Amino acid sequence: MAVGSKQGWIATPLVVNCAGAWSDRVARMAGIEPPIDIQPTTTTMFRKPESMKTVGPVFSDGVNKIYLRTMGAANFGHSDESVDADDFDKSVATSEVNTLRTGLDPRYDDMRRAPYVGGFTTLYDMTPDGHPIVGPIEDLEGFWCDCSWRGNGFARVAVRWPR
Amino acid sequence: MRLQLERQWVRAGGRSLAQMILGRDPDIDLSYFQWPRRSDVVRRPAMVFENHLLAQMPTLMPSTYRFFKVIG
Repeated sequence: MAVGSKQGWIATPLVVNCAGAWSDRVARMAGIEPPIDIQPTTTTMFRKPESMKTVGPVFSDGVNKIYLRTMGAANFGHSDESVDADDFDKSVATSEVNTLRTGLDPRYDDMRRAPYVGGFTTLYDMTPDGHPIVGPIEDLEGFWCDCSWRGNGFARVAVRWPR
Repeated sequence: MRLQLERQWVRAGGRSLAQMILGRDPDIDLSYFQWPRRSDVVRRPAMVFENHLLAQMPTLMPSTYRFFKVIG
């Protein structure tokens, strides 16, 4: 087993694919085609009402299908659309904002008047059953996977650069 | 609580994977997550909401729910 780089090839007895949203293409480099689908997931931010003292570390509402934390609100699910990890729409569609408002409103009445202040779309590396792929890959000695952790592992996120 | 549990699980998963790579017995059994999946791995227990409102709306999360046996 070897890994190619701009500085040449690096021989190694073992390669671990933990490339998150790029794990599907890293697997293809090794000649395997795992069922990893790169799908967009959206986070939107609303100004927190003064009446809302805290939302805890995270508020997870399975009925209304939203996550809420001090950084923003996210839909419980994700799109079924497949995208290219290096070329996808990072903006937030109005329909996504409305979906999240619809989920938030029944839980926090004050959020109905909270202004929307932006958001971003990032990526999930999804498997069909929603579980990560962890361990050696059959028939490909020396190639292991630790990927498809969706939002729980190494993921693409928006970063605000300090000024 | 859920987020904390998920983070602990990810850390434990990473540690156990490292142990497997080094040829040691892992702290937790990760065979459930190997690919190809075992034939008995058919649903995602943490996301199955038995008799839950979500169980009545399988089309909302089709990419995951299509593999669930929805009980309701």
